Amino acid sequence: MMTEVSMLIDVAKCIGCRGCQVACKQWNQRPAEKTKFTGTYQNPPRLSANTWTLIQFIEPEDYDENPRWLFRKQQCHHCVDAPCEQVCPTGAIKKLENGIVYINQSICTGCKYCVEVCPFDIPQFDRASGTVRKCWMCLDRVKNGLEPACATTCPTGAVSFGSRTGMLAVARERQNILEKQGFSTRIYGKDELGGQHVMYLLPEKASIYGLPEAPRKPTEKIFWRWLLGVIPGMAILVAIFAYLFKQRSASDTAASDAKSGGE
Amino acid sequence: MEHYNWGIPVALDLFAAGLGAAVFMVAVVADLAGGRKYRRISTTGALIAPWPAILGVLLLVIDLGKPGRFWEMILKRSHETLGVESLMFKIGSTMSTGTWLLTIFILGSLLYLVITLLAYPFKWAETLKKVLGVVGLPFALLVTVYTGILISATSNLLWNNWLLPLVFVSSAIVTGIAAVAFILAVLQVFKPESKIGSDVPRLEIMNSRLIVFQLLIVILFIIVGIGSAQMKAVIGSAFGLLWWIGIIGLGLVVPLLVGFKGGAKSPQISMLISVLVLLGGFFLRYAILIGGQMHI
Ligand code: SF4
Repeated sequence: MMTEVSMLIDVAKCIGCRGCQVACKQWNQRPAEKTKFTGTYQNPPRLSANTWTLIQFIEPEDYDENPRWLFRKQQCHHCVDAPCEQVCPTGAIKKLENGIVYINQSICTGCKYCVEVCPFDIPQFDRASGTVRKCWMCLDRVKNGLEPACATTCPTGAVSFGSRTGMLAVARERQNILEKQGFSTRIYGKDELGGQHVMYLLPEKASIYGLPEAPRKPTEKIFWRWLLGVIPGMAILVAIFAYLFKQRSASDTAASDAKSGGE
Repeated sequence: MEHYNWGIPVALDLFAAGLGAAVFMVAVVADLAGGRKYRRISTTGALIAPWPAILGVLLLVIDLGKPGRFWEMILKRSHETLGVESLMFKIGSTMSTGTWLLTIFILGSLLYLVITLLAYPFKWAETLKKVLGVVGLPFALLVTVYTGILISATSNLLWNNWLLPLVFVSSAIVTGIAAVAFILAVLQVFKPESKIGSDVPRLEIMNSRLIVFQLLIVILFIIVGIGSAQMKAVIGSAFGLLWWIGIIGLGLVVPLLVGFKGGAKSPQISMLISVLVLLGGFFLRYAILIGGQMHI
């Protein structure tokens, strides 16, 4: 039995060096992308099939009153209640015992359902391979007792990796320190979507970091939605039946006189 | 050109699968309500029902990143050995449920087609046809609902609207009736002396009442979703023209008016009206599917 692993991203410690981005590409052998300068250091502009982690550079809306430059490492959260895994029709997405959510590239058919379902917009379709790809928490490294490439690289300790309980303890400790300095903090991923195996220690509101404040499983109310389609649908069929039944005895000509003329 | 995750093939599938299933339902209900009296409707419906769904499934397969692996949705493989373990079915995955619903529907509607033809020479097939029709009804209805659930149970801001399944269900039925009316009207044009199109005005009148309902649902759908930028774009931007003129105006309001006037005056006009309804139905799926994926 593998222990449940987790990654903790202490965003306050991130200096935006993007070493993790490079390490990820290197270890997972993802090619670089040609990009254009768009006025921000965020590069590439978004996650892709070849970019599994990305430092988001944020200048918050209230930048003028309170100037600050924020960085958040985007990647798969490895949810406990992973919506992507729930909707995968082939079973290519699997939640491992250690908490890692990974996509088996030899099973994925590239239906792209997980792409539309993930609340964090993480999985990306790879047109070259025809499959969907995303961060797999360097499963090959983790299996061999190593940390994911990004965590190994991070020079400031903003990305750390270990057992879930251990990471939670570190997060709480850091939370105390930050709270004393006057930040109101949140451990994002502690309980969200059943808990996530990538947790963010946020010193500001989640939405400022581009995270949904209360992420929801899109499949949550699916049963009611089926009912909401089925019941009115049945009512329509009954109405059609009633109409046709009533009209049954009306002569053919009554309704069609105008149209075909000489019946 | 922007590359959409789910593009025109998926829009066509959502439209075609719903259309085929609705045509089947119309055929069965007409058969139950009037038997021989509505034979023209039920036979036409039975003859066309499987094909749009088959086309839809083919399009879905082609749209996969790896079309050759479509069977992964049917057979479950082990992650360790990659050997086949069992059938693949996941109730929480609408893609999986939909795969099975479509498979069952296509097989069932093909059987229904055969039995409908058998019912002409053989009396016993008549009863069998009714039984199979009743058994098939829930599956057909679920196919029409599936098309809406598939995209509504996602994180997409436009699609994740609790009215979307109903929008698709009622649109499917409206287009299904129009499809039957279209075929009957075409046959009438080719055989002017026959009575083959005599049910068409009745179908048009019936459809106009359903279109009133459809319009209400579409308006509610807009109201429920108006908070999202995507919805504003779909009804406001360049898409808005397609939405208001194509889908609502030509696809719903015009057929509604014709229906309330007692049906079209000639089979040629009936053909045109049916085509408007069908195009409106397709563009409804298209606008919602693509609109939801626009980066705003
Ligand atoms: S963050 Fe998205 S891709 Fe990662 S496990 Fe959760 S739902 Fe799946």
